Amino acid sequence: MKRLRLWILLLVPLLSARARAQTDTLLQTTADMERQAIEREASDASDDPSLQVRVKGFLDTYHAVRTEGKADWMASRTRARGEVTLEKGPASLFLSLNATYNALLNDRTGLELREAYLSYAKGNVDLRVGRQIIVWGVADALCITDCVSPMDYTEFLAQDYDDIRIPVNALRVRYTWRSLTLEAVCIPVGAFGILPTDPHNPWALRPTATSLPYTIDLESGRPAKRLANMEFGGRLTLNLSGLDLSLSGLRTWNKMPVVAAHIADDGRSLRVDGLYRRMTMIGADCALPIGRFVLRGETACYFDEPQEATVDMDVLRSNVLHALIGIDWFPGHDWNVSAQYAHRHLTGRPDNATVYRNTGLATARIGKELLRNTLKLSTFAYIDVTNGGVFNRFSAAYALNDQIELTAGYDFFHADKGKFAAYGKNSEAWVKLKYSF
Amino acid sequence: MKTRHFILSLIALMAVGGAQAAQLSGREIMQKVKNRADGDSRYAAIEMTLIQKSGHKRVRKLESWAMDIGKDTKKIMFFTYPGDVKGTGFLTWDYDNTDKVDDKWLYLPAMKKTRRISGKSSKTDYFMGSDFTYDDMSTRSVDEEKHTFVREETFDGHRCWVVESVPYGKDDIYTRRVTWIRQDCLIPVKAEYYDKLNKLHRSLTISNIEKVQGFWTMHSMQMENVQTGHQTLIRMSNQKFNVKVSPNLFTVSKLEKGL
Repeated sequence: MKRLRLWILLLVPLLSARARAQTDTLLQTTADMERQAIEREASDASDDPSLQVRVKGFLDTYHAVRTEGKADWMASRTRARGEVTLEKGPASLFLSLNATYNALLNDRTGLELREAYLSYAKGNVDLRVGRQIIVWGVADALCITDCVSPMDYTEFLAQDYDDIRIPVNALRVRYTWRSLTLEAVCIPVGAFGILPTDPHNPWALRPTATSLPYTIDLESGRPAKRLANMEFGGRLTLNLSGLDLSLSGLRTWNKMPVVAAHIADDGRSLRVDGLYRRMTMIGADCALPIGRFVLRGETACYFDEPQEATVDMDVLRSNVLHALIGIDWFPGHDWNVSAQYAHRHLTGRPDNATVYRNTGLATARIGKELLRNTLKLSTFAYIDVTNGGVFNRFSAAYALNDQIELTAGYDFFHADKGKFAAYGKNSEAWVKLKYSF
Repeated sequence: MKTRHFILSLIALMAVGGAQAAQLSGREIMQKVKNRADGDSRYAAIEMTLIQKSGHKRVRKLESWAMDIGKDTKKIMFFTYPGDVKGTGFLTWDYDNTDKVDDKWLYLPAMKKTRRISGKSSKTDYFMGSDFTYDDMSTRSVDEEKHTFVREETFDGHRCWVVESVPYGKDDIYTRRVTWIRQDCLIPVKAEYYDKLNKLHRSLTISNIEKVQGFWTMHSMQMENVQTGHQTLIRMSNQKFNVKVSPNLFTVSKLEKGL
């Protein structure tokens, strides 16, 4: 009888526990299975010995016509981009090729090897060597610490931002430990920015302060391809909960040439040379989400950056402080809004410099997606705060299907002086059709 | 003596009966759903078909990895189709603590750049034009909603709990959700989302539930916006649990490296 009583008393907690948590037994059962589960190697590609091939690319055609004055063509080009990744274990090869037909700029027609690099990623180390685009910083469409890959202004800023970046031949090593990433970069032979000089190009660089005939040579002054002229630097990044923080440094060159104008001995022509000098960049950037906003900040000091001087004067050197603050707002309903302000300050402005001691450039972006993300409206403006100029790119992109997107847009320039003044009559309407695969 | 034994036995039986009748609260059920064993890490290939009322279809494909770290979940996904978004990566650190805002980063391969985005952003926006919001796609903390047990009923041949959930936040696009949860596997099989006018807005159906590596796994989800007729079908394939992944996979550095 004692035994029966004991069993009954034992049953009370047992059955009530069963009733209360019948699913706990399910959890227990699956937990046991979990322990027995076969560990599968799905994600760490470095452990996969088979050769994997991935292909992507696009075909696009872009045409722009001037809307002020003579309504001539500003751009007319068709391009095929192919990207191939071959991956075997921890090693991979990436190739990106452009085949372009440019109806206005003949020298831009042809095949171009955009990126070609080998990489080896194992454990915490990621090594990449070859022609590649390296992007630093948190600024949107402005470069503060982003000094590694230079810019191609063949069509000024009136092209997709990713087309503007120029790859560099570099060795890049990354070491990641938890939230910390250390990156070292070495560029044996530097790449430099492109400013168009072809008179057929409506975006070409032209001396504005003189009516003299001129010649422009931006390439002869580039640094010799010697080991001593190598660029090198590094970046330390922390991606923490609620904060991204980076410190960067680069021993480099002014990637965009400083132009020095000289009047010929007979006084009848002007010679414009591009000059390049050694400089050092030390910078920092951060991104901080606050509610529906993300605050971004970026600052850098360029030591000994060359500055444009008055005609017939040698290039000048100055330390330049750059600081940017930006804010992104995500109000929901597929809206996104962002604004930035970048300030440039010359410490100890040389007497003969033609640039202001303080200059400001702002950007503003508003984007909205409609019709279940098939229609994307956006407007992006650069605002030359110092001179009062504006360049605004408005676009409307509609996905005809999963592969084809049709985009139409309008680039608006308004400036009497400053960096946009040369393009004051370059406002244009454009259309682009893109097939992605 | 016999009487004493009888009384004791009666008390014990009553206690058993009472305990069996005791019903789990809505929160307890939802906590169990959240705690359902699904391994410490997971992988899935996901195909999302967006179907307009006219029948026109669009397809999105992505690969997703997730890892539990304590009560938090880190997730990384890469889009593989269509071509214009191929290579785009999305990294999220979802925190169980409702006071802590999730961390999110988006990598855009064309720009070669990672952007931090607001943890509070997009949660109520629709994911890639589908009928699922970003919130629907992520691991939501149980305490972001008030859960009330409604009833038990049999749905599609399975015994289910029916739970009503009301979000505490004002930003959510639904004012209440009613969920049918299979008792045998702790997987919701049906959910109805009601709008601010208390009209049915979206209806979710989960099917093809089976065990993979011993874990109950859903393979198909269908969300229909009953007000517009638009629907989204998600098919998950090649699902794996306890995959061998390094915590380094869930870092910005790996996001930028891509698939």
